[in-house]
Amino acid sequence: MRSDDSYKEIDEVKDSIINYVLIIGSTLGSVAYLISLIDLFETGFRFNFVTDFIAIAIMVVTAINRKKIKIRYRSLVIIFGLFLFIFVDTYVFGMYSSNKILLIIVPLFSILVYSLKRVIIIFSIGILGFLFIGFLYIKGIIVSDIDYLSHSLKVVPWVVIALIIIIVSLIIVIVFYQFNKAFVKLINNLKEKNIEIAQREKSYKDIFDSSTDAIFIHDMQGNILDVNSAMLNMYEYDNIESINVGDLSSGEEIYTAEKSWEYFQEAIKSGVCVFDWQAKKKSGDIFWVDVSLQKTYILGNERILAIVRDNDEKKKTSIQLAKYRNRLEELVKERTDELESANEELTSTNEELYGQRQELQAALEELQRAQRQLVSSEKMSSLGVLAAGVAHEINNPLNFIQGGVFGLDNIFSKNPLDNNDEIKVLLDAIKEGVIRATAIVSSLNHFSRQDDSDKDSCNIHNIIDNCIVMLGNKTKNRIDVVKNFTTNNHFVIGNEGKLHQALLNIISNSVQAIPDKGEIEIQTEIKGSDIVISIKDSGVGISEEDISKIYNPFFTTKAPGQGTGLGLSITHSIIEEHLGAIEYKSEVNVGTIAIITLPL
Amino acid sequence: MKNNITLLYVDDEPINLIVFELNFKDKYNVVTSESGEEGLLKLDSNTDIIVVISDMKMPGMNGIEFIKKAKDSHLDINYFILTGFDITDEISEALENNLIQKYFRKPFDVNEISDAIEQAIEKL
Repeated sequence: MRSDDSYKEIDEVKDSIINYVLIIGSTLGSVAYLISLIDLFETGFRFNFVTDFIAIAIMVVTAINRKKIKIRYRSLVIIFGLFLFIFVDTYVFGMYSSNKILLIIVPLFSILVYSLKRVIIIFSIGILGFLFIGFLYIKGIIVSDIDYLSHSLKVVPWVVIALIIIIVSLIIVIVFYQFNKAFVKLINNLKEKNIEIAQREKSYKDIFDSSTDAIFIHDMQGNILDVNSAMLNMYEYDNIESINVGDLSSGEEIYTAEKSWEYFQEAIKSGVCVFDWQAKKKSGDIFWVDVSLQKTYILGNERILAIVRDNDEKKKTSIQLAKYRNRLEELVKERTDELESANEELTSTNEELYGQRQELQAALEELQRAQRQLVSSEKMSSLGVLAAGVAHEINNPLNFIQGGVFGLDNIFSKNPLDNNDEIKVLLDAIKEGVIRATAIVSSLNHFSRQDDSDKDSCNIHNIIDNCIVMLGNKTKNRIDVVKNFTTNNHFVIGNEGKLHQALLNIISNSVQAIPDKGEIEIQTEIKGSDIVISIKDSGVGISEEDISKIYNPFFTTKAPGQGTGLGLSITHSIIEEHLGAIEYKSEVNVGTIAIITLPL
Repeated sequence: MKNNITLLYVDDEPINLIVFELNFKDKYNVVTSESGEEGLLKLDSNTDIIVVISDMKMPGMNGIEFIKKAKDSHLDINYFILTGFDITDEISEALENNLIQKYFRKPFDVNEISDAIEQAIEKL
């Protein structure tokens, strides 16, 4: 027996039925045939023994080879066998044929493998064949030699009939049993499948509902067929019945129901449509969503599936970000403007700085000039040291000459010669030379005195004389120096070297102010406890503009290299150190007068 | 005229020594030296010397240095400086400390020196 599990197809059930029938039919048929052979001895040979044998034999062979033969041929063999049994038996026994009952199972077999039309044809052949034989009996064409009464009193025919009934019954039972079994099995399978399908459907529903996105199923007219629970939550509806499609859009600006219908048409046309949307809840609150419309087939029907994602925060954030961005752009623009104006300020500041730089440059040039002048004054002080050294070295030869002249003078005065007068003139000339040379060297010594003593008793007239001597080579044959000194000498307490320098500067300026020939008048007078020294020249004079600047350090009207511009500045400070005062009066092209007042 | 005064003149220039000696030989007994070192030896060997006149700038010891050493052993002598320089701090100090009586400038004035010597001798 094959296991129940092997029933997979109804064809297998049919195959199984055919096979059972073949086995049972051929087995019980063989038994029935063998029993009927007993009758052979009583009734004598009849040709139905031969035909029955052929039919049984074919069935047995087929049963044995059932696995090799296709079901439709096995079925045909059975039908053929049955017809052979029925027709031959009916031919022999007429209306009392025991096999006529087998006609019942002919359609049973043929329906297993043939279409209803063929079954009717096959069954009609069986019935018409049976009726034809009956017709032959009625017409007397076939005359039965069987004694039906005695035949019915025999055991064998009854047993054979019983066996045939059993066969038919068994076959019917087998067919029903097998089909019933297959049905039950199939129904169970169907039930299982239904459960499975139901579960699957529930899963889909769960998935449908568990989505955080709202899902709508629309028909092609835009009606809502189904929504998931996320949709109800998102739009705050209690159930699908209360939803009106027109209420789901905000209705503001471009977010109207009409516009959403355009998107819907677009999705129908091209299969998909994605867009941002401003949706409205049942409460009237408006929120932002992403919408994806998609044409799909659900249970064979065209549907539009709408998947709606709450995008409110993101959208608001992005709107906010856009605002921030715009604000930032504005800020950047503002800042740019500010920077531009700052830049302009900087540019003007820069110009100012440039101006200041130029001033500084000028100041620097002045400083460099000052440096040059200081270097030159340093040279002057070095010159002072040099002068002192030179003075000493000159003083020694002067000493020789002086000593020599004294000695010769002494000799000639004791031992006069004939031309003594001439000798005296010559000696006087030598003495005068020594006196002048000594005066120059001495004035150099005065000028170079560098001691810091400010408590010397300084003879003003001597100092002035020294200055005049020093400037001698510049005034000679050009400038008359007129001295109008008081008869007495006057002494100022202070630093002789400095006073010498101050007066030398003033007189030197006077000398330089006279381009060609002229006069310098130096006058001293006593006013109270002061000595007033006036130095007046007939020089070019100082303009009114310049006279206020003459004490400024580095102010000079002389050509570069000719004057430091420090002279009067130093002079002014020296006079002040000595608690005195200096005043200049001038008229252009007439002359200048310097008035120095010093306390005695 | 000669009043028997012995005088030492120190100068590194021989011409100066000759000219000085010729100018003063009629008045004084003039002894000369070309350096401070030689002058000190002359002072030790000649106790008649009562006046010393020295040049300032000399090789070896200068005039003041020479006079300082000389005065250690010859306190009674009158010392003078005859210099080609203007007055210096060193000379000023020597004057203040009475190391020297006076200083003279070159070129020398015979009368100025004679007068100074006369005055100094009178004080003795």
